[in-house]
Amino acid sequence: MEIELKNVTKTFGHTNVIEDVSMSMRSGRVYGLQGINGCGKTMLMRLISGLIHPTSGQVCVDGKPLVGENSFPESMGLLIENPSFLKSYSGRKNLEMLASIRGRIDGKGVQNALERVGLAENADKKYGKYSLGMRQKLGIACAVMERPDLILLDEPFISLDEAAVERTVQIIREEKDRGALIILSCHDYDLLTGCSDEIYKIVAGKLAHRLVRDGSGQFKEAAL
Amino acid sequence: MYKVIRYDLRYGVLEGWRKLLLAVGMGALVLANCYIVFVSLSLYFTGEIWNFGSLGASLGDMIVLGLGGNFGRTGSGSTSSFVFPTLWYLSVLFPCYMTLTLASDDISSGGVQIMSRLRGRGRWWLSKCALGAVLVVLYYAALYALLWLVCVLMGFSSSAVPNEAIFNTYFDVVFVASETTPAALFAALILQPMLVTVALSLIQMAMTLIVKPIYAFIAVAAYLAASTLSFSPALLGNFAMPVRSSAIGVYNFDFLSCLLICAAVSAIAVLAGWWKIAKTDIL
Repeated sequence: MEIELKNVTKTFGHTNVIEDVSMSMRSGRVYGLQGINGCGKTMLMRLISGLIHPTSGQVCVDGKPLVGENSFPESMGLLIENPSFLKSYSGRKNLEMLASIRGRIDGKGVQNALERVGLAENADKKYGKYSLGMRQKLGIACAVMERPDLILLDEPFISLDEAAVERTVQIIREEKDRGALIILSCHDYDLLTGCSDEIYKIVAGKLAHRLVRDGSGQFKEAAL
Repeated sequence: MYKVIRYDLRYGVLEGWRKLLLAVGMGALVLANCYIVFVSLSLYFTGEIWNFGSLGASLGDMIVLGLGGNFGRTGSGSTSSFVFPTLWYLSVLFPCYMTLTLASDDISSGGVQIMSRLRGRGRWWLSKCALGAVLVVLYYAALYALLWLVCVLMGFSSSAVPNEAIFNTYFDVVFVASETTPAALFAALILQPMLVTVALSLIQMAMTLIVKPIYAFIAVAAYLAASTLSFSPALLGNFAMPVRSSAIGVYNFDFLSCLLICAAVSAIAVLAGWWKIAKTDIL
């Protein structure tokens, strides 16, 4: 999979929340987005995921622009801001219901995802009774359970305890090794650098820096 | 597509079952109204308060008395009167309220996961429309089932044909269509309100993609209220009032016109929602 943003600008009212962003991403790599609150990280993720439309420019997946009825990438797992599920159903049931739409995985696949995020023990508890951390884990499980080609994780470490953070880092590595393209935003610089192959620093909706991990594992400034 | 409709119908109905209690509440209001009317009719016809058995009432009477709507302004000059059909109004507004936030709530929560799996906003929207229509049908099914059950328990006829004497006395209007077929009465009493409510719910759901749900609800409520005052077919509420149907015979709001207009309005609502959701930024 290859994602390409061509001069993408997103405007709300008179404000450019994303301005003239061009970038290219491919499978088997983790792309980190870094920046202060409100700099446009989540908006960029929403543009790539097809949730919002560019005011100008194009988002292309494998050369095809996201437009019209097929405005979402074909195989995508998504965790953007607060995950939301049906409160009166268990975490497991919620995932099973969503999995039934594509029909790619069965109950075993759901169980596997729940185990990977460390939620298997509480899988049959109602979602409405989940703590914030458990909700976040379920959101991560939902994003990765169908082994999608593109995974967008917006602040996945929020509300997670130390063990869960480690597990999530492990999941990101496993998904990358599987060949998924992962886009990650995170305020913890150590976690971001620990997971990412490339880091884009966003300032006021514009790409300001691009850091690429070299052979020695160090990040070096690269051309945008 | 079919998988998401199945998903929405299965879990949307299960998740929204509490909303269907509105049908039970509506049924209770209709029954309370019927009780009051039957007491006065019993007194009028037999001189006894609770001699309901001698009235010869039917399911059709209960529907017409409770959910029939009104004849507009009746009489003339200083004797003219207008009674707002509160029960009928509520009976249509309740299901509109049930379906009000189906799309807008979902779009800001779990709907994102569904859309991304479907790879299409339009398919998600169609599924929400199907769920809205099914919820309206279930509402009416529950409401009529409750009225039918009470009819059976009370020993009334479960026929949809209203009793002419009750009708003439209650409405002070001659029951013109005494020759109307049961099928035509069934359509007027049961199907027409359902079709109109489905159409209004879909229009309202499409509006919630543009304005806040409360404004969409107020617009539908105002539009519906206007139907009680005017007899224009452009005001769909006229078709939802059994007493204004051609089956009753005083006015001519017939089933075929109702079906065609409601189908057209529903199609417009679905297409407008499809068009709007395709352009909407999901934040």
